[in-house]
Amino acid sequence: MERNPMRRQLAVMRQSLFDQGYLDEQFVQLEELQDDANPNFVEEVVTLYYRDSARLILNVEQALERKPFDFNKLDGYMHQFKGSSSSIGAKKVKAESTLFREYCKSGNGEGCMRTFQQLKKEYATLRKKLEAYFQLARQAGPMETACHPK
Amino acid sequence: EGHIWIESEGLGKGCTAIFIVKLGIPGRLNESKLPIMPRMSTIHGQIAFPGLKVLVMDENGVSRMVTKGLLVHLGCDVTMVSSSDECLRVVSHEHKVVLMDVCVPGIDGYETAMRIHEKFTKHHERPLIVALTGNTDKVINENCMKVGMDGIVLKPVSLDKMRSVLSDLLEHQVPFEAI
Repeated sequence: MERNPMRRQLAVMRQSLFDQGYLDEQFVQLEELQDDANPNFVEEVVTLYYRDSARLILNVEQALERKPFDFNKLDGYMHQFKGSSSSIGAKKVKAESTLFREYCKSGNGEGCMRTFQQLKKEYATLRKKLEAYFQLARQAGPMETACHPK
Repeated sequence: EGHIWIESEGLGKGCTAIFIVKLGIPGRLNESKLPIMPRMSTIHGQIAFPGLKVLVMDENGVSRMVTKGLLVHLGCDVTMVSSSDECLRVVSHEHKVVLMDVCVPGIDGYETAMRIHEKFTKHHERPLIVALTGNTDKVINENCMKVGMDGIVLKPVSLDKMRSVLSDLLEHQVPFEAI
């Protein structure tokens, strides 16, 4: 009985992540893959994402310190980063990656730098929100697999 | 022989899967050495592929983990590789499907597909090859068909999409057996 308020809070938190545009349908797909055999699948994928992408963020940061910009290299890093972000349903982060790549293609260094700052903000914000979400999920105890109207 | 592609006007606007296939005439499909394909079974009303051996080639670790999760959830026996070389080393006639990411710079999925064709000269031993791509423009579609891919899927792949792609592919190869 005590768990119910927590589960309700969890559900509200989860819904707001979608409503505020932080996550998209792909996150729901990850939830659908979570089962008894893989009870922590979503958190594991997200953890891998933040570990893997930290390296890419660093690569981009370093590449932006070298002038003139190597737009091909920058685009290459961002292609990987976008792919990873897309795989976990990180909607806002993915959008910034797309924008960054467009600036790379048009050779717009200012645009790249500006967008990268915004991207890092979204990336950090999402991380905090997901950490809070998973922490609450652990406290709330095992949940039924997320279901949503099809 | 055939051509399959997906078109969409954008996010949230739905997508259309279009395919052109050349169908055989039943009388001619009497190859005595058809592989024993894993039968599609239904579990809780959903199609699953118990024991279907799938090889996944994807350089991106996160995307690889998600694809694996998808396939394992569908009952597949999954092998993961992260490079073309590894893919060609590991691929065998036991693999029924190869899923390969084709839009990563530095990994030539197209060439890998061609080399798989070369490696398996007997058509029925060759695994089905499916391209995973982040976008499906006409050029990518044409390239995939030119190198003999059996299908194209837009990333990120949903569970339903993976399920229907696999069932369509397998159906194409052998007559569907009702359970």
